[in-house]
Amino acid sequence: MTRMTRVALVLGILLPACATVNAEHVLTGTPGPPFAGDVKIVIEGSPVSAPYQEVAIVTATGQGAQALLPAILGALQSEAARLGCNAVIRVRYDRGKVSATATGVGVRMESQGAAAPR
Amino acid sequence: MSISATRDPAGGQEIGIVEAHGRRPQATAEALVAEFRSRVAMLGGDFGRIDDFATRHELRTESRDYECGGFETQMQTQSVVATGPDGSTAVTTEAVPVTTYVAKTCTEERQVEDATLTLVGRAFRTAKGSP
Repeated sequence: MTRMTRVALVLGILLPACATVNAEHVLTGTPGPPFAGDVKIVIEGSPVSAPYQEVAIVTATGQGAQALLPAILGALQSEAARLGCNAVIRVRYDRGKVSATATGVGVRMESQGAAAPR
Repeated sequence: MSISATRDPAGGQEIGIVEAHGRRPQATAEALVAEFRSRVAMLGGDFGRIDDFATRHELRTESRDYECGGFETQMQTQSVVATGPDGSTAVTTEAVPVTTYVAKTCTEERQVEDATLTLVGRAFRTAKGSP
């Protein structure tokens, strides 16, 4: 068995077993009650259309089968919603071979109305 | 000390560029921001602005040794001395199976991806933090 084949076999065995997505945050503002609506994602470089209040830096990392854009952005949105954010702005998505990370700034945007408590 | 990822402090004086980075998930976002704060403070700042955050992914091969020995059976010859009823002795040689544990070390390789999160920004001194 060649070295590459062995590596591929091990990857194939291990990756599905550790397919997870983890999210965390660091507060840079004041959190609010959890937001129940859809959290808007604004990719880095896109204009932010409304005034906002910064709440936290939020980040989500997925591995294996969870290293996909929908899963990671979903985790980012959930983490932001928990803090009362209705948007995550400046979202940057960085992808590797077996994992991917999205990081952004969770905010309360004024134009989307007040956060609806859960 | 205040930290922001979206705004500069009003009337603040920019005093330097600051970077903090760490390998995830061992280094949490909280720990990296704490490192960023301490670097702002080292420059004499009281406000840190995080301008950029990026994660770099790198694959590396990790190997580990493990015991993979097993039992092996080999045929060995043994001599048996038999004493007959008349007191005579006869030596016979026969092959018998002998099982022993044979130690062996195997190496397993796997690819692991490291993710390094880097925060880059600026340190400010605000009127509030001036001596």
